[in-house]
Parts: sequence; structure tokens; C-alpha cells
Amino acid sequence: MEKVIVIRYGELYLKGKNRDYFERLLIKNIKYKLKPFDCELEINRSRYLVKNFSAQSESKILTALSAVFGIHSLSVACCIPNVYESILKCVLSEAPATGSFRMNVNRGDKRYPITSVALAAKLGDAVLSANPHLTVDLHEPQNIIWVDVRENGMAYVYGKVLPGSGGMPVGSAGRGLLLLSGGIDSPVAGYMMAKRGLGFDALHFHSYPYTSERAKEKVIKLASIMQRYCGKIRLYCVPVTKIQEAIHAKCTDSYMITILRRFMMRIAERVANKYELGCLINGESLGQVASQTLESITVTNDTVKSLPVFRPLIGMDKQEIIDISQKIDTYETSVLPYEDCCTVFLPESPVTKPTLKRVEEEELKIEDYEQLLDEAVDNLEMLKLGQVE
Amino acid sequence: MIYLDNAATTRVFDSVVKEMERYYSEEYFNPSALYSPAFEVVKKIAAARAYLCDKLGGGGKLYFTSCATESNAWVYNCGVKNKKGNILVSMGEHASGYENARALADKGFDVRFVKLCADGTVDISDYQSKLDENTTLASVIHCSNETGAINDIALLSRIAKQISPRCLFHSDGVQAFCKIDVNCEHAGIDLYSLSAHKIGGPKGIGALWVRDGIRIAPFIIGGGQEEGERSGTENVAAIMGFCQAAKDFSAFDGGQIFALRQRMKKALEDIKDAVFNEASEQSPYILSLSIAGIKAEVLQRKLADKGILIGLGSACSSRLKKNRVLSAMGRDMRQIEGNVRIGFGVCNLSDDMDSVAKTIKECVEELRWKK
Repeated sequence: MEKVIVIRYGELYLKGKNRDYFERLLIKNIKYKLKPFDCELEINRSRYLVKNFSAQSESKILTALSAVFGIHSLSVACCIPNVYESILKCVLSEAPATGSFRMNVNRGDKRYPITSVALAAKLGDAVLSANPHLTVDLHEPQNIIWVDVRENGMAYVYGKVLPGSGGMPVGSAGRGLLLLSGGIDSPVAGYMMAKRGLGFDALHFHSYPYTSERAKEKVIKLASIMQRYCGKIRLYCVPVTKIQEAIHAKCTDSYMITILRRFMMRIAERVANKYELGCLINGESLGQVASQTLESITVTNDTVKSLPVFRPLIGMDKQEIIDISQKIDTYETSVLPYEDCCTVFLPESPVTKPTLKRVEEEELKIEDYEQLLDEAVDNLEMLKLGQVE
Repeated sequence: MIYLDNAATTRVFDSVVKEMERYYSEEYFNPSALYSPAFEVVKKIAAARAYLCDKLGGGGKLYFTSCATESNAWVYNCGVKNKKGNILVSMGEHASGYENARALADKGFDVRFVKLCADGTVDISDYQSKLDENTTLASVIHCSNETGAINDIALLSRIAKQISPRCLFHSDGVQAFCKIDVNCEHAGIDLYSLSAHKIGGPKGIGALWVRDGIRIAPFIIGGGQEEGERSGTENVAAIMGFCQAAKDFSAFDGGQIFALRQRMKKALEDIKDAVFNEASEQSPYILSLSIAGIKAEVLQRKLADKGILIGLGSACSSRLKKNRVLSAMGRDMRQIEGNVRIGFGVCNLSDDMDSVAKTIKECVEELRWKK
């Protein structure tokens, strides 16, 4: 009895004339994920099938597909000829011994001699007779046995539905630039945007020798992990050592972080424009730290003129963010104790309510501001990351 | 490149590599086998063991382990005979001792941590006051891996045994072996941990010396190697490499290292706001310096870019932000953040310490620039 993996998609149903566009992207993303495996992908209307894979790779394929945005759910199904006896045999093997159940029958092949409702009743009756401790519950059953009769003379029977990642296919909403620090929040921010179909590249600021090569390695690892969900990511590393030294030398201590973040946003906008990325994404959460108060965000946001800045974590609690980072496997890497560039030259009491006027005055103290910006962007190092299973 | 992190590990001597190669490709037999080539290997291990025992003054037994961390773990896990007794451990132990002691404390053992003096040695009056007739194990590091301060382990052992005659005295001798003369038997030491890779030997081999008449239960059981005290097929090549390293290291004149340290210390003395962490009895192999107002790891990276590799406190714990040993010595946060450890070795004998010191000072200046 051959096994297949049934892939169902969710929100794409709602798309009208654009549905083909979304589906094409979803199929492309699924194919990318299936590349490491020896298997075939069959495209049917509203559901796809993975076929001809080895038993050993089944769970790995499920894990890989469960990270593809746009997939609503997955099932491992038995693939059998669509004759009643074969279907019944398979249904009985999927049936639980106790509890409640219902049959879900769907006929893709409308020429099949029995209607879906009648086939469900007939199979349900046979299951009940074979398992006297079972009861039928059509509304809130503990178990559902699905039978899908297809046009190609085959039927698929399965008893479990595994949730997919939901959302929209990555790439369907365009591409942005994620500011990736190495902490807990920014990978989660990337994940949240990828869920809504946004592909992205990542921008990391490092401050060698104040930050270590290990801190950079950590970010490379984080970006690699994120590729499981977010598709291909190019990682741009920009040195801000000179900028930090200049700020430290010339500006008021309490404004150091604010000025640095404005530098970062300006660099990010330039990088995004250079690589044709349509938005910036960061992991700010309102009030989490001094640089994420309303006033601080106002002042840093002011530097970005040509692009929207998405902050998907803005209304989330730290614990909610941690929960997601654990779910997407970035947490363990994020908490490795290497300094990031925001902790270098950390002032004792950073300003929580900066004003635009004051910060602009502070920035005037850095005479070579534009030159520092240009130099940082010029020294950008681009890293292509490999595919991660 | 100038390598000045020899307290973390050392370059393996060429002679050691050569010696080890022989036991990988020619005399690779399992010493437990009964044919004669294997017996030849057994005899060579016995000779290596005897040589290393001699380096500790002769007498006693020496069991090979995978590293000194294993030796220390063995002592803490199997060397506590009276489960109701108490254990004394200095705050200056290497993490492999300290963390094992903490694990015992978590299990409910009465573990008493002994304070350090400002010079990094054990505070003898605190040590004395924490000992009592129920002390079953006392453990004090011979030479501090952080600062190079040398503890008078003969005195500490004598004090312990006067108060608690059945107490076992253990010392971690990793930074002292072949560098500081010791006669374990005369000094009243019962257990002494060793490692090969601090003296030009390979990583992955250590030993525990045990005084005659003392038996501690094995930590790793199995095939009964090392007289049943430490099972596991002998790491023959590493054992032979350990012995060769001890021979070659001992052939060098420690006085030259002392001169290197003196020269470096003198050249660094004029760094402002800096303090040397050292004791009157001090290993010449380690120079610990706390430079307030800089971050030591940044200095380390700056120097690495210029081809000079120095250490930061203990390499094993340099990823942790706090430094337990320096805190116990009363150093403040700025001094701890700015602590570097220069570890001298035989590979430095022809290096120019004055020019290294000059580079260090220049980097410190760059990191300390004022507004």
C-alpha cells in the first residue's frame, strides 16, 4: 500500500484572479523544500501530493513542509485503488478502537457510483460493526477518518491532520530588509513577516573588535535557521565600529543609542534601496527598552523617508516573543552570550524620551556624518547562506 | 604570531608529535591484548607512569584519565568517604573543581567555600575556621589558573590533617606540574590532578596521582583498565606524548620564563589604572593584569589582529561575564572587565617582550581615548 503526503493550502482559497500567482509561488517554495529528498510532487486542484518517497524520509519531509508558509495542513495517507473493498480495508485499519468518530468523504471523481454522503454512511456503518466500543459524533468527534476519492482511479485514506504553518507563500508579498541583531526579537519579527508572505534579506551591524567574530557567527546561524521558514536569505554585514567611536567621542552619552539607531536606520534604507527591497522590518516592541519608547521610535523612524518600517512585535509581550522564538528554534542561539553592537559603549542611563530637535543638534557634532554613512555602506559584506533542512 | 596564552594550552612539542605518531601507526596495539607486541606497549605505559610519578617526588600511584577535569570530577564524586562529613573548597578553584563542589552542595553535602586573600591565595585563617573534625575532603588549587598565585599546599594539608586526621587533601596541579617543584608524599597531598596540554603535551590526556594506601572508588567502570580504577582502553599515544612532554618541558630552564615575565611586567607597569594580580609566591608562567576602563576581550581581539594572542582569565570560563576568582580577590567590576592573562611558555623564549608590551600599551591607549 503506497503512502503519500497530502498538502492542503489555506488562505489562498480566498484569492480570486490572483490565485494562480500565489499557487505558483507556493509550489515553488514546496519544491525548494523537497529538493534534498528523493520524491515526486503531484499538483492537483486545491491539494498537492508528495509521492514515491522512502519510509525513512517521511518524517523529515513532514518537518520540512510544516515550515512552509501557505500550507494549511498535512496528512500521511494510504493511496489505494478507489474500489469499495480496498477503501473499507484501509478505513478499518485507520479506525480507533474507542471514543467517537465521523467519516469525511470527498469525491473528486463525481462519476464514482456512490455519493459522498452515502459512502460515508456505508463506511461508518462498517467501522461501527467492527468496533463496538466506538460511537458516532458528527459535530465534535474525537477522531475523523478522511476518504478522498480522486479522478485518477485512486483514493486516499487518512486519520490524522497535522497543522501547517498557515499564512501566505513567502515571496507573495514582496521582499524586505530585516534588521537582525542576534537577540531574541529580530528573528521572530522576520518570522512574523514571512508568515504574511514577505521574503527578506537580513542586515546585521557589527562592531569588530568591540564585538567578536563569534557574535557574527551567531547571526549567520540565526539567519540559517530562519531560512527553514523564510526561504533564501542574503545576509548583509555592515561594520559600525567607526560610527560608534565617533558617537562615543563627540555626543552626549545618554543619546548614544538613539544616534546609533538613527545611523542604522539610514544605513538600512540605503541598503534596501540598493538591493530593491521594499520595506524595513525590525523587532521593536513598544516600551521594551529605552530605545523602544514611543519617543525613541519617533526619533529613529524619522530618518527613513522612502520605505515603510514594519514592526510586527510592537504589541507583543516579551514572553510571547520568547514562545515564538522557541517554536522556530532560534531561541537557543539568540541567548548565546556574545555582545552585540548595541551593548558596546552602553551609557549608564540612556534617554527614554529623546526629542528630534536635540538629537539633530547632537548629530551636528559629528562633522563627517555623511562620510561615515557612505563608508559603512561601502564596506558591506554580503553572505549567501546555504539551505537548511 | 606571538602566542601568549600558554596557560590555556600550549603548542605540542615536535618531539611529542613524533613520539605519538609511533603509537598510532606502529605500536597501536590494545594493551589489554595478550600477544607480545601488546605487552611491549604495557611496559612502555608503565615506564611513562613511573616517570610522571617521579616528577611528583616518587611514590604513590598515577592513573591516566581523559583530562584534569575528569580527574577533579573523580575526586569530588568518589573521594568523599564520610557522606555526613563536610568538604572544604577554595573559591580559587578551576571551574572543573568548583562546579563539581557546587553540584555536591546541591545534592545536600555540607560544602564550605574558603575565601581568597587579595593576592589570590587561600585565606588561611578562613580555611582554618571552616575546618572541623568532620572534614572529609579539602581541595585547594596548587597554582591559580587565573593569576598564577601559588598556594602552600603542604601547609594547608598539614592544617587540615591536624584538625581532621582522616580528611583527604586534594590539589589541582594543572598549572603547577613541571613548573613548580612538588613532592606530593612529603607535602602530605593525597590526590593531585594533572594535565598534559599545559606543558607541550596533547589535549585529551590527564592523570590523577593517588598517595599509597589511599583508595578511592573508580568514577568510570568497565573493562578494568588502570587496575580497575579508571576503565576505558588506554589512550596509548597520548600517554606516551604526556611523558615525552614532561621530559622535554623539564629540560627547559624555568629561570628564562621568570626573566620573560619580569621584563613584561616592568614594561607594562606604567599603564595607568592597572593592577597586577599576583602573590609573593607566584608562578612565572602567568601574568594577570586588570586594566580598569577597557574591556579585556576587545583588547584581546585588537591584539589578535596584530598577531599577538593573549588570554582572558581562564579560557574555560572566559565566555562567562563574571569572574569568580577575581571577585573573590575583591577586584571590582571594572578591574574584572579589564582583566587579561598573559601565559608564558617555552615557545616565547625568543620573543621580544618589549615590543609586545609596547603594542599592548598602544592598544590600551586607543581603547581609552578620552572625549
